Amino acid sequence: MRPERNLASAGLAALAAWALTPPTAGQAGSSLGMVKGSVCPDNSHAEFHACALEAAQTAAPPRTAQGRPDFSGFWLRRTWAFESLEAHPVTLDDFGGPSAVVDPADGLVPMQAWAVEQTRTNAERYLHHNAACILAGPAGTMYMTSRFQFIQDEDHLVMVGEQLTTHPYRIIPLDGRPHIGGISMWNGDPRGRWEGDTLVVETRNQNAKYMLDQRGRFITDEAAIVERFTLIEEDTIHYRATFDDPNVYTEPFTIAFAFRRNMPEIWEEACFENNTDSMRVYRAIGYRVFPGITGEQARALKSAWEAAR
Amino acid sequence: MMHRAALALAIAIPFVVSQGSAQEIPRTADGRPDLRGIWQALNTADWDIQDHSAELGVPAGQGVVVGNELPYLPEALAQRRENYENRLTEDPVAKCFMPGVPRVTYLPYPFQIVQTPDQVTILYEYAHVFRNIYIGSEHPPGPIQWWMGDSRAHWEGDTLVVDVTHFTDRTWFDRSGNFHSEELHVVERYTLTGPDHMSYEATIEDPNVFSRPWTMSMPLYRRQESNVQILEYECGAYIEAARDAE
Repeated sequence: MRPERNLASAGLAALAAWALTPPTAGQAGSSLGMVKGSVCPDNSHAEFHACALEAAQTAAPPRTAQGRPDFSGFWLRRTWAFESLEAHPVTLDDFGGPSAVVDPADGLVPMQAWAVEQTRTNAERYLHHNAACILAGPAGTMYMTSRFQFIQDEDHLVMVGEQLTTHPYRIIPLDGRPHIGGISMWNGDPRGRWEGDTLVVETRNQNAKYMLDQRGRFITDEAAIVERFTLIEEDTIHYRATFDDPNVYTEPFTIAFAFRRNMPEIWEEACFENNTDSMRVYRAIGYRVFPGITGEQARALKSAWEAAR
Repeated sequence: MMHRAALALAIAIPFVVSQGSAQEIPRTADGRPDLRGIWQALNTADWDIQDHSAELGVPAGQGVVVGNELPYLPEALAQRRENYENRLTEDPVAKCFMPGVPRVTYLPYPFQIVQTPDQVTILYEYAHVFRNIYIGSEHPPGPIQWWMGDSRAHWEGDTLVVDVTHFTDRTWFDRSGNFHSEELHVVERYTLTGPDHMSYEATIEDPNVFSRPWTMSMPLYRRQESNVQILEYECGAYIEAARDAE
């Protein structure tokens, strides 16, 4: 039993998402396919990232009345990073895929030694937040949720999502207002600003009560998360998220992947409402929901780990 | 100066304000009422949509049902009484489930409206529920059972009229056990009556439960705090944490 996979319904939803984007010939074993006519293929996150950086230099994205890049529309996320941020094979449990990590260049998550062990413990002992229908954090929401609609006005970028998660939404203020005070939230307190044609979203106040992937990777509530959204052409977003958490990692690392234009509409996704029986089973076999690891707890765990060496 | 005169009249006669004709309202680039912003109901309908006396932890309240009477069919009335007896454990919102429509509107949590010419999306703080209200398109063919139903809208003058169908029978109208079946059909009417006030009406139709349609009516208020924003009430996560601690 692999409780961190969210059940048959989630699997079916994933299959439906996959069916929208059939892999091209020669991509057997990969669930990511080439999108015809795109300036940047996305079979490999690293290649897509390199191509997108180049394409952004000459991109002519659709624009709002205010002249900003216009992200409005329906989008499909093109990664299986929620299974593992790193490269992982196709198995009965996993769609598999290349590493989403583009920095460092080796595609490996730069974990501290104690955190490698903690990651294993997380995956073995705790239920992944997604199996409990709990939000996935700011960046996690972007790579766990299959389908999105982005709605943009001069003051907000709003995202509503469906498939594989728990009907998440994000409201990203663009009006330059200051961050809120000491209120902690799963999806945190995001603020967006423009750097040229790239929307940079910095999130604070996230509670880290979620795993970064189904391998048990994690951050603490002290992590800084910065996301970048760039339209490299009308139908493709180059998405990047940088995690900076000295409690867990030896250096900041960045993941990147594509969002491709998708069909409307976003429909209801009940998750928690249908999950009571599954949760009873998970608890009966000893699982508890991953409670998260605060910065303070991480430092204590690290000290204990080092003392035991 | 016409506007100032009209405003003075509106202040003098509150009834005119409630008609929404005299007050300046914000408008979108395409001339529609601009519903965007953070709103909240300010009443006790979540406890009981009808007139009710106070109890421990329950504020007394004047009902939001027009005429106050709910036209239950006889068998349905028995179910409603049973719901009331079991309300503390059986209320779907006590279980952190999606609250349904129109209840989500008068939960004691704010919600944010975003708007484009062909869509109004409402983001509710409670349990990150959202509704996409598509303007000028048809309901998908059923049968579909959604907790928040399927919402399709059109403008009648300055009123956004939302037709909501494809419901489950698993949501209640309030904590007191007022309920419906999957045959529920709701028509909501959102009308700005001024820059910071909105009239909200919901007409309820359910031939399995009620002998005739009936209507709720209440004002919605724009939150005035300069720093107000939608936060999180992650109901299900709190329930799971409590069960893990047992």
